Amino acid sequence: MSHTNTTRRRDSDSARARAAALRTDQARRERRRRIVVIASSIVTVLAVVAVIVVVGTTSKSGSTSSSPSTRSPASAALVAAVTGVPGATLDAVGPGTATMPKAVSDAALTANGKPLVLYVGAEFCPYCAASRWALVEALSRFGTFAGLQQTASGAKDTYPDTPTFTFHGTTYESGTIALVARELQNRDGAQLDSISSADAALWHRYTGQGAYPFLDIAGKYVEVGKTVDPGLLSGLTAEDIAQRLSNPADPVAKAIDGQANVITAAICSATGNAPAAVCTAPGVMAAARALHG
Amino acid sequence: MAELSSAPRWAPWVTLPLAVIGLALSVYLTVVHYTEPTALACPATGAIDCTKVTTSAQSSLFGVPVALAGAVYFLAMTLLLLPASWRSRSRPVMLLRVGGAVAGIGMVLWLVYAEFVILHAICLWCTAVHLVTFALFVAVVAAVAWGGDVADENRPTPAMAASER
Repeated sequence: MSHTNTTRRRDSDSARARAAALRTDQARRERRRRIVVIASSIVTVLAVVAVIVVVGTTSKSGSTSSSPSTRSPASAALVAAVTGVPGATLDAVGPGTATMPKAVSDAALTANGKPLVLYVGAEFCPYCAASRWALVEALSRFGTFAGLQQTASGAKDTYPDTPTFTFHGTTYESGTIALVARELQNRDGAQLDSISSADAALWHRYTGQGAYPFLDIAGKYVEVGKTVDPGLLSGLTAEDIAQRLSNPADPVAKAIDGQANVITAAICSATGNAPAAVCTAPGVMAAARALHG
Repeated sequence: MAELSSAPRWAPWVTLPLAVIGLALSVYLTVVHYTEPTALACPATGAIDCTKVTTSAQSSLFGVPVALAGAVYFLAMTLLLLPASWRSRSRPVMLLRVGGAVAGIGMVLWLVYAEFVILHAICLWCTAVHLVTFALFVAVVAAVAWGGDVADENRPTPAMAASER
């Protein structure tokens, strides 16, 4: 009898040990399954993200390397149309739909004893593209550009291929004001012009890590970012835009001529209203009233 | 209604904070979408351009701002990831939880595609939401995988039953 009981106990212990071993084995298999499920989920998502990032970055660089530089000398007719907008049109437009620059009380910005206008932009930037029309128009009232070139904003950016001018390689002569105009990046985003440390400090002071376009008018007025809406220029050629500047009822004229009048008024406040013929024009004076609130 | 095994104890304490963080970020982006004036400028920092991303055509889905849709999503996930929801052994609740996590990561993949391939610009705030959604996805998958295993571990197999006879 005792021999039978001992045998039964041995058999029972053995069965429990086998069951425990099976449970341990199953737990190991389940842990492995968990890890496979979790790891495969993570790897799948990361793999898809990696493919997207590679496709995105190679497609952008591919378009960059194949896009030719689109800088070309601005035609005399185009320059004449922009710099020769009839006075009657400018007076009728006044401030138009211009964005008012912000009045600041910085130390006077000068160069060679003349009030300095500082522009910092980039050729790829669509907001710079739109604003340059008004800048060229306004600055032409105080001096003369030489070597002005045409270009278009970046092909892969918002408002792609907005027709515009570029200040890269341009010279400007004026007896009244000085101009420092820098295009820091080209149409593809590559580095272009350099900027002095003093100008860079001023630019960063108002734009943080740096934003385009930036305009500082003699330490009295500052513009950052969009002024003229590049959406207004969508689908238009440079010649189309220039032609519309002479129609005071055209939204393009109201935006660009209006902004030019406001920039002119701001510059006049730094030049003591010189030259008088420019600064006392009705359109400029209307813009000045809007500028001063 | 079919019942499931209980979720691991860590599940609500890992997933719920993630959902709340995602909700906070989405609410911020929604507020910015509706209130911030569009002082648009081109950044000199190149590809990092939050304004470009948040004002793009891809920032809306069927007319609904993505930020707002994200806020609604994270609110729903917050409810599904409460401790009481995890304690519920309801299969539909589990399916909603897993489905939500999968839908969230699917949306993230689309938005990352939009940023890198279409817009060639990224928004750091949006990237933060994407990372939270990814972490939430991993945590929910892990919790579901864990919870099923707990039940299976305790359930005797035929081999165990035979060995104990």
